[in-house]
Amino acid sequence: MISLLLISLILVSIVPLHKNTIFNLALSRIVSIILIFSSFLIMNIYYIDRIYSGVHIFYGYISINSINQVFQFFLLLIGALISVPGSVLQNNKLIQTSNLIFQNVHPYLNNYGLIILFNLIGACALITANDMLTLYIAIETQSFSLYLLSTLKNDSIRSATAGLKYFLIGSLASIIILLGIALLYYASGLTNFENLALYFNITDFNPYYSTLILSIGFILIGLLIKVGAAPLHQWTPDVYSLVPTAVTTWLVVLPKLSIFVLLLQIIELILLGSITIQNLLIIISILSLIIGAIGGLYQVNIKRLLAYSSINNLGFLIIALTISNKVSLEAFTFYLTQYTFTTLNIFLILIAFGYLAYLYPIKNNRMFITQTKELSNSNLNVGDQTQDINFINQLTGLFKNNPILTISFIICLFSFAGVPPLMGFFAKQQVLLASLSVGFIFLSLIAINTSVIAAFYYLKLIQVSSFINNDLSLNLQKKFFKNTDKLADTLSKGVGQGISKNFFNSNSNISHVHSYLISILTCTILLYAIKPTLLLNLTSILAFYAFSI
Amino acid sequence: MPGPLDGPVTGTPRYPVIDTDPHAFRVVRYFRPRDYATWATVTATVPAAYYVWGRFDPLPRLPGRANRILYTLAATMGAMGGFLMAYQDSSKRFWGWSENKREQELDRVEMTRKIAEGKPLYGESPQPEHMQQIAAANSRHSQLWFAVLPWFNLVNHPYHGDFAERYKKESKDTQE
Repeated sequence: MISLLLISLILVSIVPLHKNTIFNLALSRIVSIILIFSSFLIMNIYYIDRIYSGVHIFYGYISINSINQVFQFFLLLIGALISVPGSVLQNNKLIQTSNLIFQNVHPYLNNYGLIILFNLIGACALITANDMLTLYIAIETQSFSLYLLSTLKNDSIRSATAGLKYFLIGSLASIIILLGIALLYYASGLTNFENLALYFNITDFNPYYSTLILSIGFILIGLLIKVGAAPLHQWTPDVYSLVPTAVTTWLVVLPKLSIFVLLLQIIELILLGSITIQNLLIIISILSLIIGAIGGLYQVNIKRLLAYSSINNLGFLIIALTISNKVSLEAFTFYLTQYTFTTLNIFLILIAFGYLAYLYPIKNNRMFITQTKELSNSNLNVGDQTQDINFINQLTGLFKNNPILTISFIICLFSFAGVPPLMGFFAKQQVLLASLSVGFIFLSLIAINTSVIAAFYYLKLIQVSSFINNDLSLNLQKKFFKNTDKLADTLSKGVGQGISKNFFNSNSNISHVHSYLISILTCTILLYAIKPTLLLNLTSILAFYAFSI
Repeated sequence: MPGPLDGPVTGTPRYPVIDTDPHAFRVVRYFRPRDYATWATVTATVPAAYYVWGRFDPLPRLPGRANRILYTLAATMGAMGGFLMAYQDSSKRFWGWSENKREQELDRVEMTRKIAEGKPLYGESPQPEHMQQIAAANSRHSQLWFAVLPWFNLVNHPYHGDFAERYKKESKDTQE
C-alpha cells in the first residue's frame, strides 16, 4: 500500500501544482490517512496464534511474526501522526501568517511525503528482515531517505551541514555493518538469521569463532552508530539541532524504533556469540547513561538537550536488551513504546510552540547573536534560523501565553525524568527491576544516578517555561487577542524587543488534529497508571513471543 | 479478529485449509458480497476522511483542478486499499484462518468438475518448473505484507498444498 502511494505521489509530482504549498499540505493529509489505513491493513491480518513463530515470505528474505507485525502497525501509525503537523492551518485568514511561518518550509514540503514513504518502506523492511542482505538493503533505504530528509531545506546552511554530517557518519556505519556481514559470511557461509542462529547453537568448536564474534561486533556497532548510542553519539546533537523541528521529530523517533525492533528480534543471535558482546553492550549502555545525563547539562539549544536526553534513554533500552530474559524484553517493549509516545509528544509540542509563540530568541543571547552574524555573513535569511523553537530561552513566559500546552510539555518532561505516576516512571522501574533480577546492581545504581542528573535539565526546561517570565509577553498577552494590529504597531516602534511582529500578527491556533493529538498523547502519559493492564498485557504477550521465537 | 489468547498457540489453522497460495483471480472469484462491501466502503472512506479533515481544519481555497486531483488521488488510493483489504479477507479463508464454509463448498465443486474434465487442478503455466517454484515461494503469504508491498500470485503453479487430493480420492471412490 505504501509503495502504491509512493508511485501515486511520484505521478502527482509531475503536475505543476505540486509547487503550491497548500496543495502539498493537502497531499500530506492524504499521506497521513493512507498511512493510518495501512496500519489497519496490518491489523486486518494479524492472527497471533497463526503467525507466532514467523511466516516467511519472499523466499525467506522477510519474516512476519507476532512482534514485527505489531511494531509495523505502530511504526505506520507514528509515521501518520508525525505527518500531521505539516498541515497546520486554521482558516483562510491565517494563510498569510502561515505562509510566513512556512515560507522556508515550503521547498521541503514539496517532497516531504515522498521521502517519508521511502523511509517507512525501509523501516518496515528492516523490522521484518530475516536475512543479512535484507537487513543491509533495508537499512540503506531507510538511511538514504533520512539523509535526504535532513537536507530537504537545501537553502539553509544548517540543513546542508546536518545532512552532510549525517550522510558521512551514516555511511561509515553502513560500511562497518557491511564489513560485519562479509566477515560473517566468510566464517559461516550463511546470511539467513535462522540458519545463523542454528549454526551458533550447534557448533561446539569452530575455527572461525573469533571471526564470528568480530563480525557480530561490527554489525552491532554499525547499528548502534545509526541509533546514536554513546560513545558513537557525536553526530546526534548536531544533526538534530540543525534540521527543522518537523524533520527532527522524524529522525528522533522512527529510525530508533525500527533499529531497536530489529535488535529485539535478533538479540539472541547477537548474544549467542559470546559474553564479550554482552559486555560490549553493557559498556555502551553505561556510557550512554552517563554521557546522556551529563552532556545535556550545559546545553542552551533545546534540540541538543533533547538529543542528549534520547541518548540517556537509549542507555535504559540497551540495558533491557542486554539482559535478554522475558522480564527484560517486556521492559524493553514497554520502554520503547513510552519513549516513542513521549518523544513524539514533546516534539509535537515544540512544533506547536513554534507556530503559536513565534518568539525570536532574546537579543542578548550570545548564541543567537553569533548565529545571526553567521547567517548574515552567509547571505541567508535570519528567518530561516528562527522559525523553530531552538533555544531554551525562547521558552520563557510560555506558561503565561499558553498554560495548557505548557502543562502538556511539563508532563512529558516529568515522564522523561521518571516522576511517578507518569508512564516514564513505570518504564524505568521495569528496566531497573529486570536489571536487579539478574544481579546488575552496579548498572542499576548508575541508571538511577544518571536519571537523577538528567532530571536537572528537565527541571531547568520546566523552570524556564513556567517560572521565568518574559515581561513583554506577560504585559501584552492579555491584549494579544483583542487588538493584534495595534499591538504589533506599538511593538514595531521599539517596545517589543526580541519578539517578532509576526507573533502578534498571528492569532494563529494550531490545527484541531494537532491539538487533539497532543491531548491524547499527554493523557496517555498522564493517565497510564489508572489502567495499566492494557499496555502491560500487550508487552507481556509480545515478550513471551519474542522469547519463544 | 481473534484475541491474542483466543485458542491454542499452535500455529495450526482453525478451519480447513483450501489453498496455501491461491491464484489472484481465484481469490477475487471467491470474494463474498461482504468483501465487495469492504472494498466499496474503503474506497468511499478515504476521500470522505480527507473531506472531513478539511471541514475540521479548513485549508485555504485551492484551484478547482487541484481539488479534483486530490480527491481523485484519495479515491484511487481508497479503491486500491479496499481491494487489498478484501483480498486479504478472501485469502484468510483460503488459508483456513477464518470461517470458510462457503469457500470449501465452492472449492469442492470447482475441483470435482476439473477432475471430471481431466483438467489440471490449478491451471497450466507456460513458465518452466523452477520459475513456478520461485513464483510460489515469493507469493506464498505475501498478503501479510500488503501494507508495504502488494504482491499477488499470478502464476499457475502446482504448489498449493495437498488439499485437493481429497477430491481426487472422492472421485476415484465414486468411479469404483
